[in-house]
Amino acid sequence: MSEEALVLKDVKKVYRTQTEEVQVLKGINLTIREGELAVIMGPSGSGKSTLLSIAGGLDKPTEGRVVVGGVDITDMSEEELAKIRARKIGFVFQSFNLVRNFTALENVMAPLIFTGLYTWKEAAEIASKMLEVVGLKGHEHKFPGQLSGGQQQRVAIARALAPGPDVVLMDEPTGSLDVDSAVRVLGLVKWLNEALGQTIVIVTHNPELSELATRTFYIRGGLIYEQPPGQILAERIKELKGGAGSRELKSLQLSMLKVKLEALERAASRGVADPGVIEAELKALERRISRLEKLLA
Amino acid sequence: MLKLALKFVERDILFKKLVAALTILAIASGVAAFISLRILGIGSRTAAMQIVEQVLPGEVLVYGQGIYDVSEDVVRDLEKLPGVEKVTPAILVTGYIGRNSVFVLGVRPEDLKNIVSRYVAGSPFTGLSGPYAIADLGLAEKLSLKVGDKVAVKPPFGGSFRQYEVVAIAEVTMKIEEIAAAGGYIVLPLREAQNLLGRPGYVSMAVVKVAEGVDPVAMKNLISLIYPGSRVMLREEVIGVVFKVMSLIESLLLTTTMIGIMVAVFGTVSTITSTVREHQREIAIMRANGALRRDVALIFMLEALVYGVAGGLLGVVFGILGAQVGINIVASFGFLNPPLILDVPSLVLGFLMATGLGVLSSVYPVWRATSIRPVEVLKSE
Repeated sequence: MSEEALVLKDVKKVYRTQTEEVQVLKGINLTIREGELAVIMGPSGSGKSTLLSIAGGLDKPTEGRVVVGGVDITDMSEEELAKIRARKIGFVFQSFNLVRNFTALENVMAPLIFTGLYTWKEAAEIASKMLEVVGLKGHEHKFPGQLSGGQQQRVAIARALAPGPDVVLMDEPTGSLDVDSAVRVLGLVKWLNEALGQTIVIVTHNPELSELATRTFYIRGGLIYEQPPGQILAERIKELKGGAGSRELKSLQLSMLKVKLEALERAASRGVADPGVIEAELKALERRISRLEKLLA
Repeated sequence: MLKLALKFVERDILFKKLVAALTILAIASGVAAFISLRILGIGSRTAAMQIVEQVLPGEVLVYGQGIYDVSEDVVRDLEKLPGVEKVTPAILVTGYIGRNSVFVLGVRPEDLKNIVSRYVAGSPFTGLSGPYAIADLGLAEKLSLKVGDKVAVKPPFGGSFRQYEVVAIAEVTMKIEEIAAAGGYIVLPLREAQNLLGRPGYVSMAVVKVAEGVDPVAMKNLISLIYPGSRVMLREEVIGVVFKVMSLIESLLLTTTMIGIMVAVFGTVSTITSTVREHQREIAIMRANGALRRDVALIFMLEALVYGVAGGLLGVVFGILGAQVGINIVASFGFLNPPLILDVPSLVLGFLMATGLGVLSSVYPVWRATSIRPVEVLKSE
């Protein structure tokens, strides 16, 4: 867990209107290491969603640098950022945000297709396995409207995880769910973090979520502070899941990462992406594969 | 990506069936009107050309300055010109039977075969003169004429009239002139027609057939040189004049069609724009998940393309059906019987126009879709 999945260096964000300037982030320094589950908490308007947007390459910082999985994305163009998001960043939002014209399987396949690295068949296989991982086997061909809120959010999680991203960013992932669904979804998040070693960053104003975290941060007044994690909810979730199938999951994750490695090598040989970016991605991927292989040995 | 985009488009169209159907119908109606007019125009031109070629027994037409002032002496002189095989004199003028406008055609008995395709009843006159007439089938039906009936024919000017016995009812092929006459035909022996008009020894035109191997243009130039006061036209020029009139009518109709096509374009723009608005959030999500601008553009251009292709195909079918209806209507007027010619370039042009306009209609909505910044849309959460 020593490699850095996400690094924000002295990130500032200023919103300018005709009459005023609002400094939302005043110099954020944040390093999330691979395999961590970080929870960033703060009240409404504290800038936590802005921080998440910048970390995910959806918005640009006014100052500072952003590095995702070893690739500095700060000065990238919109289209380059889209390519990076497809391969290295997963998003989960409060409102599920599934594409209603796609089935659950196609929703999970979409980011894989957007990478341009996978064939339809490869994408369908990975998506199908991801849906199985999140407990939605048999729901592949249902449309979002045919799924409950909790199931939709699990599809959204599968979609975020499918391309094997360096980091998954979640913005209030339980905000639209009832208590039972929220507990199940959080259980899944924690389980995926522990079983797959998936790096996850959650922003929320719900203090209960900090109990899941390996690290907890507070954002206030445009600055970020770290606090040690709690244990209560994490233990409750452990009881719910009982750590079942962890080895199987790791093997599954390993096979998916190997497919991604092959796809990336194919892309590199075809020259479809910037060699520097591909090289950094290949290194990060090889590191994750080697870590999983050690765990499975 | 194409497969994913196709799935999106397929479900989107199935989801909003009525709007999609109306958009496709709007495109189809524009294209159908265009194709119908093109097919009808081509059929009418072909029919007109065939009639002119069948009816005019020569390549060069000689007119005087007035309506009927080509002397028969000129006709005889023309026959003596080197390279002339035959000269057919004829009188073509509007007249009246009672209050009905008719077209009076005066010809020699030997030239009847050039203008009559079939005798329905009776038999033709055989002399250059005599109070006999052949009634066009349309005219006979209109005035309830039978063989043996007497008709009083009035010339276009003056109050005098002459009576003729109907000796035959026939189908007259020389119908292009009837566009102007808007009535029926009454065919008289040449001398009778001249006497009716009070212009014995004069005809309204002489049709010159040139000998094989003689250039009609050279013949036209020669006649123009010998008779500088005459109007000399090639058969192709007559056809050209007919075509010019037809083109003018077609252009006016096509302008109307263009308005329909513009409405279809606006309809498609509106449909795709509303689709983009409906899916704004999903576009933002797809962009957040790594979709490139071209991926988003592909989805909505594909939807417009589907409308265009469907509208184009339907438009081709409707266009052919519409053309058939148009042909039936034109044929029912009794002067032209245009064939249904499925002109492939027109069909392809109509189809390509539909698909092209479909894609063109998507430019603005696609620009809007690709301009969506996910951070702005998702912030509203």
